[in-house]
Amino acid sequence: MSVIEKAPERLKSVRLSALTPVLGLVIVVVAALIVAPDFFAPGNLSNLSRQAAILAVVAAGQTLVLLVRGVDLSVGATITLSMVIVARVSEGNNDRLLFAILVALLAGVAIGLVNAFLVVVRRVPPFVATIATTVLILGVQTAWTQGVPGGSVPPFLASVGTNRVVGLPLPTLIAATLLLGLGLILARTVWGRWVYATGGNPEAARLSGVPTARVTASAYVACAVLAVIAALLLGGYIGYVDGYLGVGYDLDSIAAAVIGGTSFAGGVGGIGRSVIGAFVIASALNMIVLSGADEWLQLVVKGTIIAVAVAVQTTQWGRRGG
Amino acid sequence: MIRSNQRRRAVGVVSLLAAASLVAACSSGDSDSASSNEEESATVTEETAEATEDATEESDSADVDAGESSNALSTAWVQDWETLGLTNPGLEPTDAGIVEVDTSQFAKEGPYNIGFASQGPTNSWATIYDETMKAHAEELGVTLEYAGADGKEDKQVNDINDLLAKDIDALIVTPMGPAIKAPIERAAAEGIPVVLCTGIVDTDTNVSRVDRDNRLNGALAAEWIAEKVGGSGKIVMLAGIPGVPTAESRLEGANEVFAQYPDIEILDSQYTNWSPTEGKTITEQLISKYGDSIDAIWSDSGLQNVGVIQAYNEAGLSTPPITAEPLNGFLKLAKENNVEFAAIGYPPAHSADCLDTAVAALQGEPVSSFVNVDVPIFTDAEIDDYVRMDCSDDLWIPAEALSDELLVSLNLC
Repeated sequence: MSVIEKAPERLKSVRLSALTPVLGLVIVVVAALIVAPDFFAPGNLSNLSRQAAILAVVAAGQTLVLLVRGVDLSVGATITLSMVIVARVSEGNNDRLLFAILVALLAGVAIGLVNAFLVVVRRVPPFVATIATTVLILGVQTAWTQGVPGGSVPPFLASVGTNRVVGLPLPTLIAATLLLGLGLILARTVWGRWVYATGGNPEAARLSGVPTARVTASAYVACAVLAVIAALLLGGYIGYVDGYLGVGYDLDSIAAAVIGGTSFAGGVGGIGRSVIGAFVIASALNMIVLSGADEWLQLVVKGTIIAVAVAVQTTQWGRRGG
Repeated sequence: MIRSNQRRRAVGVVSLLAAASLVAACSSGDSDSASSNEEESATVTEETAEATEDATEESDSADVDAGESSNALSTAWVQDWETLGLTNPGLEPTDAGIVEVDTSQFAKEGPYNIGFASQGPTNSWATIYDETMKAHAEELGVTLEYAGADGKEDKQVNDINDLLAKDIDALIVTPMGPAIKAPIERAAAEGIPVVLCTGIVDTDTNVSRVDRDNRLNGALAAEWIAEKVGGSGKIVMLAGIPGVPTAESRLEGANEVFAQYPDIEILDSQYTNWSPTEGKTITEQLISKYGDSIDAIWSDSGLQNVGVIQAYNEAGLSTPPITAEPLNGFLKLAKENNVEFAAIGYPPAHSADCLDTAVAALQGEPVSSFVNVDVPIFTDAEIDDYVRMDCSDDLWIPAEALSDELLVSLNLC
């Protein structure tokens, strides 16, 4: 009952905080107008869309986990491992690509299940559980490859990563389709409602018959699988595999979701807003390079954006609590 | 005269090894000549053992040859820029501070138990680096106590303490950061000769450092760029990781050279974190800002260059002349797209030189405080002698010093 009663209030709050990421994007775009007019060159916008789209896929998975009151720090390692698997298993051949992708997806499911087991069954705090998984993934990868990824990206995957359709990069279109579908599933299906209910108030959700354990587990598995898909797009785009491909995606994906207004406390957030968050981060970094500013500044800007986003969000939580 | 010749040989074991690799590089990557040179240097190592007694007797005159080891660096430097067909050396190497170190206090009978605090197999370069030293230890009959730091400074502090507890005779360290100063000094205080292998720490307690002067590498690449654009043009600079000494030294050397060319305009200078991903992202943005007006690109590694060439291809432009380290993935792309480049290598196989230096110290041979690693340097004109179309993108070239078994077992070829 309490879930239903609370729903309208939550909706209002969602609308309010949904403005924050859009506002962030507006600020970035205005800043770009002033310091880096080249930002709006069609070539740059198209590249930017690809950079943001790949991050958005990871951030969408992260959003699902955040919605069920979790966090997944293992997505960076999952991305790297996926590409190492694709390169090694396919040995750079198109005819083995499909099999290699299948192996990578299975690895993603396995990683998601390990995270889910630790969090749901063993009740390990998600932060600790997914760090443990990260170390495990890196360990397995190092033992398997002896630190050398080996192999290369099959040409077909590279062409998917770099080609354009009607002027837009293929990875952007693939990511857009995927995220649109995921957004609809989250908004329109029973599973989607369960995800929000589990994160909003797990106890109430459980009492009203939501299989919260399985819903939480499914979020971790979906997150890992989305990381594998992002890895395929990223690896195809870069056309090169090394042991650092996924570095930074763990924190960037959390940042994108948080900038989008997804709450660490669970139950509040959405795919579309995380996509905007991903665009805010990618645009800000893109703009810094274009403006010729120092590399040292990139982290400062990124940190500032995240700090402001978190501060704004906490303010709203405070208001809602009061 | 004979004695001094022998001693000079003893001192020069490492430079000979390095010279062998340079000769191999100059003789167009002919693997036969490379392997025959290796045999030659192995023979020299044996002679070193014979020379030990003489050298210890004469330990008090150890400083006499100091100028000679400095000359080795100057000579190597002249060869380096002449290899690239440059008319101007850019920077002169600073010979100051390179001395010959008397190691008679460390002299002891074998067999030796040598500790190696390495970076650990975090990438292909580091894996090959470790494996080469392990193989060389087997050749020399030395027991190698190995500890990999997983790239982490704090782990290496513990690693070195663990190695010291294993009663090692000498310590080879690939320092992961400034904090390694303390354990190195502790080892030195225990009377253990320490050889720094690839990397620098602010201490004077190590007997030797086997490395490449990265400032000179950066300067050499910059000089090639300057002559390529005829002393006037627009360039961009793509460096490695901000704050990492290797990257900063290369950048510093390059900036010193570019400062001598008022007509070269540096449009932009960016760090790429030695990542193909960031190399590509940044280049895409540079292209959308400057279009095809970039005349040349100074880059300090092959990693970001993979992304650079792809970005130019996707923009439908040809990649301007670029400097690089010879990473096989870059060489393949450069060959495919006819990219003009100058490559300054730092193949990981020089870890064997570090072991030789440590052994020399234990034999009481005088060693040079800085052993310059001679590296292969070449341009796109010689690409066919270097690129390995049959091997992985992740292979550092040249790989002739490595056994086929090793390359296959690492899935590199």
